Amino acid sequence: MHSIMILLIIAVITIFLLGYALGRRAGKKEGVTEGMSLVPLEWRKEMFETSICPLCTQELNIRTNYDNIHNREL
Amino acid sequence: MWLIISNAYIIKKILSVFFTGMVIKIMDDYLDQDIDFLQKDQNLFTVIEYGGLPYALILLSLAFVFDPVTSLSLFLGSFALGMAGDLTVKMPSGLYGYQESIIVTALGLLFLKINMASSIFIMISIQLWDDYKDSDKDMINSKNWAFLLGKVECVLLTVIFFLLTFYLDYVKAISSIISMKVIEYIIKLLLTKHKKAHEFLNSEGKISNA
Repeated sequence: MHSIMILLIIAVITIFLLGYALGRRAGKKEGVTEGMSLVPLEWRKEMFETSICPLCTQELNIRTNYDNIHNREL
Repeated sequence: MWLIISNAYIIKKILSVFFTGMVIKIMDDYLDQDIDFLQKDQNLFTVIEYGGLPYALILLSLAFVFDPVTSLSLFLGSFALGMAGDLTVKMPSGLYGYQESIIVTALGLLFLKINMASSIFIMISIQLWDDYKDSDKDMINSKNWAFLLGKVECVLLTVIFFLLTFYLDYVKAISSIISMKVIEYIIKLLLTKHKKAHEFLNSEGKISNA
């Protein structure tokens, strides 16, 4: 009786471990993909709010109205 | 498995596990003394110095007196597990670490059968628990299982292997865990005492600072 119970507990924990390990690894991959797709939008938003490029920390051209956001005169 | 066994047998087994645990700890500290010195970690060999080998042999002999099968299986299990990680390092025998590990495990399973299996399981369990405890200290360590697998996975595997040992040999499982804690405490006491003695001698000027 006790032996069966121990084996049952081992089986339950093993199944939980498999589920947890697989879920965590899949979740990590999904998180990275999602994060990568969100980063450009976040940077764009940050740039519009602060007028500073988050990549090169250069300020937007405020003297001439260029199409490009970066100051080409520099 | 759930046989009614005499108290003398249990006590002998507990003592055997305890003494073998001491031997394994001495062996582990002997192999890690260079790394511990570099990382400034505490090592048993700072206290026992050249006495390590005779003490280990005496303790192993004592363990054999109480229960030869248990102590031999535990010792072989710890050896097999310790060597298993060294895939590319050649040992003094001329074999790679994992080859030694496979040979020792095969011999153990051949002669000691289920005792060897339970010993390997409890050794894996203790190793995983140790790695989990050290995971904050050496997070970027390629040999730390908590870092390789993840902390929760490490703890769950510890529980699974402990339960497997419990299923095969419950006396060994429980006494191993208790022995682990007792040995840790004894070593901590020894090292603290040694450190205090060292500081006292240092303050008295009886040993050089160099």
